[in-house]
Amino acid sequence: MGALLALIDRVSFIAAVIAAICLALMALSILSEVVSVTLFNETLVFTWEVSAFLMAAAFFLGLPWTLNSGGHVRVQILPEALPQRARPALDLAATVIALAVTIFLTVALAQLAWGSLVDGSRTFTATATPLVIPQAVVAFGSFLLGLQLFARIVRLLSGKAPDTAKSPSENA
Amino acid sequence: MSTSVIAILGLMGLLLAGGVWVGLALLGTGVGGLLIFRSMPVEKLLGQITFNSVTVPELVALPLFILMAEILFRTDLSASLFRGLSPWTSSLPGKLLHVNVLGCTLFAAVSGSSAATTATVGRMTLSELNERGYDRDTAMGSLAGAGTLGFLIPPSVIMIIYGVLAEVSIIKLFIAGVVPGLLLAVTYMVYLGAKASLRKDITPNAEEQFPKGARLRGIVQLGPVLFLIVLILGSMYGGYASPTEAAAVGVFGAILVSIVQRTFTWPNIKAAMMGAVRTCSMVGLIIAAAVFLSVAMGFLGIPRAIAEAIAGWGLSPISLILVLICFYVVLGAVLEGLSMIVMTLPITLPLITAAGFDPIWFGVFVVLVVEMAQITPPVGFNLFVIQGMTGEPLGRITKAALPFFFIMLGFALLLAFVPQLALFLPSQITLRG
Repeated sequence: MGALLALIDRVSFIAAVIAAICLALMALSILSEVVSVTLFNETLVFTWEVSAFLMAAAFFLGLPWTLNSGGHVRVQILPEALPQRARPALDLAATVIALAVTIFLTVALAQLAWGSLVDGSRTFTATATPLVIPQAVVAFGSFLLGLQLFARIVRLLSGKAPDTAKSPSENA
Repeated sequence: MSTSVIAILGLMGLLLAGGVWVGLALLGTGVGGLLIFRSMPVEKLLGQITFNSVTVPELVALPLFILMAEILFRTDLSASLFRGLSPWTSSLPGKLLHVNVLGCTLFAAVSGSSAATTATVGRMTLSELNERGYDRDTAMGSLAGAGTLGFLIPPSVIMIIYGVLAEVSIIKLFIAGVVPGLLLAVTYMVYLGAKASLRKDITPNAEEQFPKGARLRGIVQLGPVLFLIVLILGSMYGGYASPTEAAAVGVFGAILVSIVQRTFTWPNIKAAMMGAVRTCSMVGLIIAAAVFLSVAMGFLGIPRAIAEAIAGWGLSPISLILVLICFYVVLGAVLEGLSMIVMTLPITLPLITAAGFDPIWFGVFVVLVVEMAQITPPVGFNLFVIQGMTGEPLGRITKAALPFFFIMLGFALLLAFVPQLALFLPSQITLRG
């Protein structure tokens, strides 16, 4: 079990690194649009679509590691009001509900991607990107979030610290 | 009110209070409500709306501004702001206490987030003011209050999200925030000046001597910030760039500043990128969830039911705003600002527009109540940021920030009575995007 949890953490981190690369590419894509418009007065056909898809990929691929490094916001009033002993039980209940929602979301996104694959749906732009590509990435990010929530449940049940990733130097 | 309204609001309250992460709690509320009260293919709706809401082109500005703030946080901008501003404030009553307000005002004009503004400006000012013998509570309080200007003075991530959700022009929102933001900053400075004149013990007795030419050298120190302001705001208000393009140019400018200040190192780049991923994922999930919840609530007829109930009270537009202020102050104490806005907007926005208010005006108003939420405990991000920097107990920081909370409260009322404060500037300018 320990090896599986370590693997999930590892995969989450790699997905977050890919999310970071998506963010960088997104910035580059908009910048190249700005340069192209200012210098050559020509707009690049792909930038808006590509950057929007890169944004979606970055949002979703970053989800599991953000969870594991404590980056998602949650209301902590009830846990803080409870006695220390009761907190892990409440945390467990919250994580189980979160997992149920995430499974539903993953199924919904996977069905969307599958439908686009079967219908061969493409964007109505010059690039005509097959929609299954960005949709599958988003569904995969949601799937990884589910795995990370599962890992969290196992760690809570075995009395370990639920979140294992270090946060990058504090907020900005 | 009907059972569905009570059930949905109850489910949402239960999930949030139980500690389910905000994005997932909102999704769960929407999904749960539709599964119970409507027979429809919920997963089809969920998949499509989630995907659409995170691929809105206007939203691309958001991750870019977050990335830019992460890069700037790791430059020496904080130190240059302090060195550049302190010679200019030394002759004002309250002296260097004004550096927090002025620093935040300037930094807010390049940063879209109030936590980033607080963290970046405070990194230098808190320890420097402490060493010079300024009152610690006043220093912390003014930082907490002025840091919230990050949302009001454009660019602003809250305005980007509001613009996307309410389908109004982001650039008009940005322009509408300028006058209220600057006025609020001036009000803070007047308060600090008055407090320092009444209470001599909050500023050190010893006059700090600045050598001749210190002010001119200060301008040079402020160069990087002024450069970024011209780059971002200039390109947007000059009509050359959309908010997204201005944000990309801002990222480029931040990298230039980082290179010039010799902070563009691999560890800094890595930390900035990963920090940006973390914030973006958190915000992205909440936005997707909020859009879905809003659609789900529409299907369940909840905004209409609540609007009818409130219409039954027969409130005048101004009393409606007063009720909303109370509602948001209470909600803002327990919720983080962004979550509060996205989950209430499907109900409050139709209410407000039906009462005859301009959605652009409401955008500025909403930003102001988010700012108040940033400094009200138990959940206030600016308080957390300052706690992280100083290690002081939350109670003491909250008390120090309280006067600034009341200033904002008064300011929200002023904005309700004089909507032109926000609306005059955007009505004068026609722009793209």
